[in-house]
Amino acid sequence: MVVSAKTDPEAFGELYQRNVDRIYSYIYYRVGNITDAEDLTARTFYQALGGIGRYHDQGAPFVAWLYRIAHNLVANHHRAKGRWQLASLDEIEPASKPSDNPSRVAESGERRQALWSAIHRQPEERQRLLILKFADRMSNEEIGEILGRTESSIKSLYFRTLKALRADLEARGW
Amino acid sequence: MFDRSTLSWRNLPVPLVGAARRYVPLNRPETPVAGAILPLMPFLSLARDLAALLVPVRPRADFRTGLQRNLMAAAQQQAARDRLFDAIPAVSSAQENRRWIWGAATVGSAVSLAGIAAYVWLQRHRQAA
Repeated sequence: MVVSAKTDPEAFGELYQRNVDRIYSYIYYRVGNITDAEDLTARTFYQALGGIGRYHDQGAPFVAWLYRIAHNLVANHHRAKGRWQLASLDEIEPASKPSDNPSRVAESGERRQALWSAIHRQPEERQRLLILKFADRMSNEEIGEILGRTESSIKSLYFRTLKALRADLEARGW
Repeated sequence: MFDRSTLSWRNLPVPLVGAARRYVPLNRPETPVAGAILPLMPFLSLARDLAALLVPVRPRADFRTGLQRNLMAAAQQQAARDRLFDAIPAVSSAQENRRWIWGAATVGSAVSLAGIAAYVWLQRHRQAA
């Protein structure tokens, strides 16, 4: 598929269809707003189209290459903005239903905001791990291919991340 | 895409759950080793909260289709450009070098001939004077 996508626009369209949702989801949680997520998603695929002729299969799946492009664009985006901007949780679809008890919804909103802030206080690699695991529903093996680590190292990084998150939240009275 | 109702500590993608389940018979919570799972519960709860917060998001449908349309157009242009470059016979660097040598030799010869002609003209002019 990737080999034919170098010369066949239809094959590239198929690659786009397969991967656009997960790439968008990843970028969305890294930048925190729809406008930037759409802009960076488009740039990721244009860059992939421009560079696919030079792409060489080195054992990792094609999507790992797309994530690398997306990651670099997100990093440049944050550098250009000069600082890390914490996304507003208002833009993230709440998990609660409209019929839920309002006080419980408010409490749940505070917990979500606290957790969101705690995630953003983690080192970048841990944030990427959490987004890939939860928002993109990837296995440890797939995450390892994207982050350039072994599956067992991803498992231990994940456990360390949970411990660090919990310690951070407890220190803030969660 | 993801059924949140299936999310329980039994099927969370937490490696430590798998480890704990190997040692704790789930149908016998009164077993003394069941205590081993208690320290893990906060992490399971945290993982559940993370799963509820970081839900997969999908791009807007019009953005998705619009980007695909634009990408396909760009891919077709790129493919057409590549075909065009493939059709033009490539000029090897040896051929290119030979052209430069011939060009330089021609210019050098022309300058030499002009110098000789100028010398002859000057000599005749002096003799006439």
